[in-house]
Amino acid sequence: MKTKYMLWILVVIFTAVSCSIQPANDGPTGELTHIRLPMGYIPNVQYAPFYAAVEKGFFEEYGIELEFDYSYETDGVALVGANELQFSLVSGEQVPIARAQGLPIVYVMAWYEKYPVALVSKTEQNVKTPQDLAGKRVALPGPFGANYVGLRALLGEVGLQESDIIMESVGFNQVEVLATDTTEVIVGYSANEPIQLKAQGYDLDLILVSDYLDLVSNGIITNEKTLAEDPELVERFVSAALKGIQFAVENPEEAFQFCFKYIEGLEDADQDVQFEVLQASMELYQTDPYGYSHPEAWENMQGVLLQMGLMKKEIDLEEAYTNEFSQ
Amino acid sequence: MNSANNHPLLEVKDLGVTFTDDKGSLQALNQISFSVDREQFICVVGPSGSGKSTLIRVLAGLLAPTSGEVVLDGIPINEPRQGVGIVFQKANLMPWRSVLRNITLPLEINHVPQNEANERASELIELVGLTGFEDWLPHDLSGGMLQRVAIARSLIQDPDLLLLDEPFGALDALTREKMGAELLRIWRVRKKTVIMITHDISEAVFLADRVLAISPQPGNLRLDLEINLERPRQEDDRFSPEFVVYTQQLRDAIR
Amino acid sequence: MKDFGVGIRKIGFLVLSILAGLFLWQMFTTFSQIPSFIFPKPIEVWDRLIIVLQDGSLMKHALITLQEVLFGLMLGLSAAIITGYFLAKSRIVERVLSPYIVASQSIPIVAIAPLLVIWLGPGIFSKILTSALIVFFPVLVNTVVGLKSVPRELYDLMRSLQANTWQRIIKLEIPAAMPVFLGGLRIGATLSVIGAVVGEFVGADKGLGFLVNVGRGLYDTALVFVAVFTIVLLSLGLYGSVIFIENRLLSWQKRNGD
Repeated sequence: MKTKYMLWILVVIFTAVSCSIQPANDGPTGELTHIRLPMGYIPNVQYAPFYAAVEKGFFEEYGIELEFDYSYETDGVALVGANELQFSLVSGEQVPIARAQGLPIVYVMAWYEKYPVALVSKTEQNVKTPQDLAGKRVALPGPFGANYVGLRALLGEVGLQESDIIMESVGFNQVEVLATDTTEVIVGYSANEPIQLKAQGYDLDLILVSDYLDLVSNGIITNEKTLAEDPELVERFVSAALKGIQFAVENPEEAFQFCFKYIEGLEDADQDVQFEVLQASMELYQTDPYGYSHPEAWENMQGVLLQMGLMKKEIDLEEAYTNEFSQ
Repeated sequence: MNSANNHPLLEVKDLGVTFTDDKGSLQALNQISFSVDREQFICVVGPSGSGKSTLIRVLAGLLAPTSGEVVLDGIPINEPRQGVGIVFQKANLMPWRSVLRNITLPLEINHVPQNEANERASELIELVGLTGFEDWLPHDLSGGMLQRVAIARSLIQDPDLLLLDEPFGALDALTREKMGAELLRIWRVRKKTVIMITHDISEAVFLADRVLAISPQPGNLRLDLEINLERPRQEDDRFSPEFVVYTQQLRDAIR
Repeated sequence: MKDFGVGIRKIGFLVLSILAGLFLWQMFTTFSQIPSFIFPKPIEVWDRLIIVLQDGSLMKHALITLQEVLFGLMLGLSAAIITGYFLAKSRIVERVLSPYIVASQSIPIVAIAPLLVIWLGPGIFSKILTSALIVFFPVLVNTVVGLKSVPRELYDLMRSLQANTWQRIIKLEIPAAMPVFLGGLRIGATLSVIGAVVGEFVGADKGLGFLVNVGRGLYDTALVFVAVFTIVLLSLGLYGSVIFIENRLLSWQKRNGD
């Protein structure tokens, strides 16, 4: 009796195992390159072009199976630097900073043309130009990351020092501290905090960093090894991503619809506000040509970072980015 | 010492204690009456559950009687008061205090200056035979020594009445007998009125002028027996015929 | 003399184990060829340490964190001791408060730290409060357990000696609850550092938690290591202080067995 049972169990296990293995070997996904892409932030409508690119099958078209990863931005950079991952979506200032520390990463595609950081205040504060910041209390997550770089770049551009303002580190709570008047000015992303605040009925003044200075902005990085050994993969990846961006620019509403699958709770959020976030971010896109980053924006960024002391030595910018994949 | 030497120091009248909780009530003591003269040594015997400890807690003022009353020196006892020293079942010392500091604790509480406290303590330390152990901690002492400290502590305020609740219960038989003899010696020197609880009948007969036998549930006073053995008592007394008769009588009473 | 010898041997073993750890670390990073922004070599961490020591920045940040920790500890301790006393003494207080206290224990501090920054502003207070909050629970529990462990017989003794409430607290409850209480303090002291660092992580421009953030932001992993080791050192220092206090106050416990 016992041996008979054992036999049956073996048969069941065998069938189960062979069933689970087979599609992996012979199925359609077998030919695709699996890519995990750190996005640098939580699931958000700003990523609509990437969600669209997956849903419209652009990545699959270029032989890529894309998986989104929402860990910290710096983790994404480090993982690409260590060649644990091949691509990451990062903010522009990260590239020179990381390269100065010896991370062999290369910026291969600009997603945003304009640096996304803005200084936001209620209109009664009367902060219309960067000069008006002098003596104001300015809140940001902390002296690090894109917000800080944007703030310092703007101050530097108009000849102000960090000591001319009262800087407050509040974590990622800018919306709350401005709404409650805990502070006078906040530093945030033009496509995020101001829109949320406006939706709550506040009248705001925005100072866009990109109106004063061209700085290299958000885009895709890879590492030197991947670029040297598998440029064709980089080409495929960038092509699929650019196709997604182009699609979103041309069909914003359709792209927005794809977000629902990826963003938990989007159904319950204020749809108009969320769509506005997407539209505002689209104003920052690099579309002419797609994926291109301006050498001048790189020079400016390096200058700001050196001045801030976030980089100790100058790097060769030629090695930091390439426009070879822009279209 | 006291002018009112003609009436008893302690009078217990129709004492009853009943414990009540959600599960019902338990009568621990029932209609107990007796009186104690000055400088008498009284032992209370009874099996476990006979309410002996309840009696001591009432006499100490730690527990209010349900009925009846206890009068000490003409004043009813309702709460702890001066003039009563207690030795608990366990030595009940503070482990973080040295022998000396444990003994002076009652004086500390009554704000007696430390010099005077130390002086009075050293006398008692000598009396209980702990000279040289003043700075020892309770951890490092044997069970018998711990009870000596407790006795010294109970005597430091020079109480009229000394209550002992099975003080030697946790000691081995030999130490117990030795401690009993010690206690008699101290009693002879200090001339206190002593009420001591014990479950050991022969210990009671050996120590006491009078033995009260209490029966269990409810605790009734069964026998109030005068022990007419000559003092100072000797270890050999335990084997005398009278001794055997007394123990037999008490054993019968609480059966 | 014997104690002295044991002490020397203990320190010897400690040094040996640290050296062995450093050696393994150096070997691992050298042979695995892990890039230093992922896992720096000991020597790189050492160099980074020397730099931040010389420019005074490590000291500055460490002192800020220490300040937050000490205030946090004081606040957390006082709150825990006072609450603990009433909790141990009163059935009603216990029944009313215990649901909140049990619930408060399971609040993830990282989740409410951002809220504290909003409520209290970005200054030092939010860090003091995260530190105090994390200290509160273990100290509270041990205060209650410590007070409840005071033998009933000793309460009887104090009553029979007609001690007043204050004397009962000073002469009985405090010393009797002290061993268990100090056990809680030992845990609390270590946690207090974590609390302050978590607060700094959320929003700060000074302190060791901030230094970790800076290191991460600049891919300066050696700096992250320096900051983390300093945090560990701070925790150990506080732990050691509690042990020192324990040895002083509880010497009566150690003597048995000699």
